[in-house]
Amino acid sequence: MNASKTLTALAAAAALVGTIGYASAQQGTTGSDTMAPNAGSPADTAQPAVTTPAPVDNSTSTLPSDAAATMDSERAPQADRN
Amino acid sequence: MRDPDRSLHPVLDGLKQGVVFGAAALAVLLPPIGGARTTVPRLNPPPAVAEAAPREPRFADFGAETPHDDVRHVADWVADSGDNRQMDFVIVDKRDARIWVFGADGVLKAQTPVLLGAAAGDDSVAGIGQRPIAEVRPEERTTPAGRFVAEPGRNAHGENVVWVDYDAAVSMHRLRANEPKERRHERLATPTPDDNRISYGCINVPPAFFEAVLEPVFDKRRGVVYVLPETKTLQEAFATSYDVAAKHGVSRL
Repeated sequence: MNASKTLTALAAAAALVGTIGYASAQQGTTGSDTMAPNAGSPADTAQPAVTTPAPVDNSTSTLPSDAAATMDSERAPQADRN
Repeated sequence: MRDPDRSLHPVLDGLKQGVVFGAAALAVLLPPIGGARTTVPRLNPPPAVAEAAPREPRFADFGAETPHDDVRHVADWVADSGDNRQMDFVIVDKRDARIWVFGADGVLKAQTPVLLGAAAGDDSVAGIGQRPIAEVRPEERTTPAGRFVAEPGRNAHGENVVWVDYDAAVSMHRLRANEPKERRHERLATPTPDDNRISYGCINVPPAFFEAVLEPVFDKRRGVVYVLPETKTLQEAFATSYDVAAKHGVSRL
């Protein structure tokens, strides 16, 4: 009977360890805390990750692209149109 | 003598019970596998939904000044939309031959009359930036309209200027009186904007204003210059601009 109890405890412990390990692995793949902002939750690992496109800024999409406000260097001097 | 069958029963019983306990624990702790396939991915809300959240309108602050409607329209739109990307910005009103300089927060710093390109028009001729100034024909002496990310720099004479459209060689610079017959100082001093069209496309600024207002704004920093059109419509020049008061359903104070 002692052997039976020991085996029961060992099997249950193994199952729990496996359960915890599996749950940790699942948490790592969903990664809700560290997931990229636009990444979908890959709950179904058999399917490709769901992603959404980055937001499009329509307010200036037809205008010259902006650069950083602070400059590292100047453009080459050239003649202006006075 | 021990019965071999009986001696194995405790082992089998233990394994069975362990499997049952483990299965019970899995059933409680694991998420439903079938449900995971139908779980809606946790996505950020669509940008349109996020932007639709109501917020207070932001208007440009002109202080005691009274600008023309087009200047106010563009300034308000920039302040409300953040089109200036947190940079100081300048509005060039070609019809009134005047520039308005704002901080990044939409508060007016100062305004002044200026001299502009002699020809009416809102576009630059292709390749004009690479041509000697003597080869620029009178009808090509336009100050182009639109939105420009401007930056400080130097011209071929080493003078510090603000490049509005570097490729087209359009800059804001101190007023120069290289040709006395052009009477640039006198033109700038008159109260009317009608005689302020004399340059080859550049924006001539009173020297004191350039040094006191523009140089600090463009001190190793870029800014946005909005040149209002004179032959095109505002919507053609700034397609995404809007009336801030109408958009938010309020009246501008």
